[in-house]
Amino acid sequence: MISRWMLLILLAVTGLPAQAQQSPEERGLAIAQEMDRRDSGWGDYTAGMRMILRNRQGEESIRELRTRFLEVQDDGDKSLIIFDQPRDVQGTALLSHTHALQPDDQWLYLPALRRVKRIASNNKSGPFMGSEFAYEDLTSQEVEKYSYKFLREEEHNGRPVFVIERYPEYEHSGYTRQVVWIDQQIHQPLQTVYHDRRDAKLKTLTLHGYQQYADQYWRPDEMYMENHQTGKTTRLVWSDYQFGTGLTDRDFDKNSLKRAR
Amino acid sequence: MQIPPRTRTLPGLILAACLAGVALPATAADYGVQVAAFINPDNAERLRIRLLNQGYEPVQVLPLISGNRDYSAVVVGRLPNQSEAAGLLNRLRGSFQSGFIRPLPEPEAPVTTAPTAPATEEPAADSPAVIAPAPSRPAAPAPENTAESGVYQDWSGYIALETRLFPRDGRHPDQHDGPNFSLAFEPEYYREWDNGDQSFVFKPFLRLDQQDDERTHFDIRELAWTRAARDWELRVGVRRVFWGVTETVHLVDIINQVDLVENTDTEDRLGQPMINLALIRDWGTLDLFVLPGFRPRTFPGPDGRLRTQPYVDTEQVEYESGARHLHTDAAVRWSHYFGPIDIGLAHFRGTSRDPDLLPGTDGAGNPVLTPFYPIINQTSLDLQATLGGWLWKLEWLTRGGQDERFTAAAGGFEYTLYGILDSRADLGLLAEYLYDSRDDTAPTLFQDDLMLGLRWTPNDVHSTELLFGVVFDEDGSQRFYNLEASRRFGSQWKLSLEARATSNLEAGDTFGSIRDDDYLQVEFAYYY
Repeated sequence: MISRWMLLILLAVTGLPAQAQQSPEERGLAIAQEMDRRDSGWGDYTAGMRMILRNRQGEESIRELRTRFLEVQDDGDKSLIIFDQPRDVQGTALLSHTHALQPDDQWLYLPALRRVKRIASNNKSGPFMGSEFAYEDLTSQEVEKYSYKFLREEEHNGRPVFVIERYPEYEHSGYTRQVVWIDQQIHQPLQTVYHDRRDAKLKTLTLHGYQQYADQYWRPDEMYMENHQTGKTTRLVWSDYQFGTGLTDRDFDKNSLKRAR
Repeated sequence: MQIPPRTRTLPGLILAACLAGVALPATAADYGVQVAAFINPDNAERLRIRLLNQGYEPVQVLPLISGNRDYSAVVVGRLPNQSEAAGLLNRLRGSFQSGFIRPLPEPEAPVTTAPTAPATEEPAADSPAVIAPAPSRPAAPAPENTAESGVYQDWSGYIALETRLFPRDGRHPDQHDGPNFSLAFEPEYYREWDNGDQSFVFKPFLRLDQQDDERTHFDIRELAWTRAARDWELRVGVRRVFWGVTETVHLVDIINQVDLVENTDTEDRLGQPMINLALIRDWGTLDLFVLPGFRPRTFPGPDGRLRTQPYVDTEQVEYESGARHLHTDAAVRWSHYFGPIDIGLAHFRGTSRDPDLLPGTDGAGNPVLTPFYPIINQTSLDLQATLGGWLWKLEWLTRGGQDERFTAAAGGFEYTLYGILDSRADLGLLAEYLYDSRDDTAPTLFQDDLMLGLRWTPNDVHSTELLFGVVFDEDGSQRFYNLEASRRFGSQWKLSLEARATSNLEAGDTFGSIRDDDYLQVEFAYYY
């Protein structure tokens, strides 16, 4: 009884900021919503992507891709990924119409047969191009895809961050939870630790070299994924981000997939 | 841990091109390569020392103003002309992808304004997260490999050495025995302009075969121009068009003729001349095809394996149409998708791609089969429902004009188990039922048959794949085995294996002539 009274008095006297009254879940969600709000309205962008896959023995394998993204209001974004390297898959292209909780729609273009193949999209946790990135790590991060919990504030590499935990709400995720370090200034993740279905620590993603584009949107130059269970790593280097290139829905349909190079 | 400087990324080149074409002053000046620009001058100084230690000289830190901010630019080299600077840029590309050539000020005269935005903050490979409010990058066209605006071009292709090993001798004395070697070459030139709205593709194909003169052949797979607009696309020239969803047979895929000498799986096709207008609307895509000119099917010659008995004499082609191979065919296809359902409905009128094979004789009086191509009307449907890990597939057609009107269908599923046994591998289970109303008279191996198959994808860095299937006829006695596997070696080599075998085929069966033609094919291909 006494402690409850004291708490009330304390609240009345100090007038704690609103966030103190939020539950950790509410605060986690609020942070995710703020991330989403700040990263809304970009419309479309394109970027080059180079993946350097490295195994425990240090053997490297290179992938080169080009990516195009289209923002869709009230739904998941659309993306088109075109493969340039290795050369035997050159011209292969992956079209995704993502959704928050419903399965994504995905089509794969196989240039050898000029064939467009609708593919099953519940393979979210599988390796993307043999890398340590799963498809779900690279797809658009809608707020509704997770539930959240705020953990703490701390400093990460000298920058103030929020540390939150999020739990996939969509089916077929390979994770029970992800711990995310979010930069308080730019509201972008600096690090994510992935825990597998048995809740064992699986992978750590670190994001480097954030730059601001179109005076608003922050994108990393580099994403580094380390698999703690296998020792394999994938370095993903982004290049040539172009915002507002004028892409439309037409650039993300099955016809455009056949033209993608 | 530095990126191996293999291929280069484009922004640097574009920047260099912008500078070279626009921003360079006409006066003679020295040139250097700006590799990075930093807000924190200490970072610039650190990079300068690092580059000096790597043997670059001179390396200067120059003040730079861009977007109301002060930067410290790190510039390597002092060279009398741009071409020498370009050589230096080449050497630096691996480490500094956004490096570009810039003119240098006279010594002791610091730069106060930048001709263009500086290269962006370069995070050292092992440094903690660097966050730098970099200036907006200059607008450049989408990924190009030429400096010309909106143009992209690319040469690619492969060259492959193939061996087919036949454990048994051919049934006919003319047929070769033992292994067969052949070489295939398929280069492809692609050019895109008008910001991708127009493109041109040229893809010739050449095979040289050790034993079979008919398999030694050249074809233009593609030679076409495409113009894309908001709600239509026009594609004119020689092209390859694929329709269909099933794996065992490709029933509805009718636009292109089968290049049968390449492979019995009917996936290799000859280039088809066409004018194709696609109307792209809310209600789906409507493809209209005018197909001037017909390509007769290729067949193995008398020396070849995997052929009919007697062989097909492609010198003696007959047509129903008086216009023969110049008959203009037409086709229309509507395709769309609704949630998990992808659907295609098509109609084709013109020369059948499947010939009737009629008995005849060659000049010397020996028995041969001669192809006859009737005019047909074919209506077809292809349908796929993608539900979770299930792909449900159906191809169906009805054809008139070739014998009695008949129907054929293929349908089934592919169900994929992801990450089997806690590994990265996926295992697909395939089942397809194949039907043809012509029954035993059908010139196909598949009239009332069941295919069961497995697809194994380990999701490794080598893109290893394996597909195994068995087709059983209605009473299960005749079987057709098929194995396909491939794996990449390094970044440009690919090894493909293919094994095909039959069991319990009799001489009188439709494809009884290939009952001794089981084979293992090994192909090693170099892609560039």
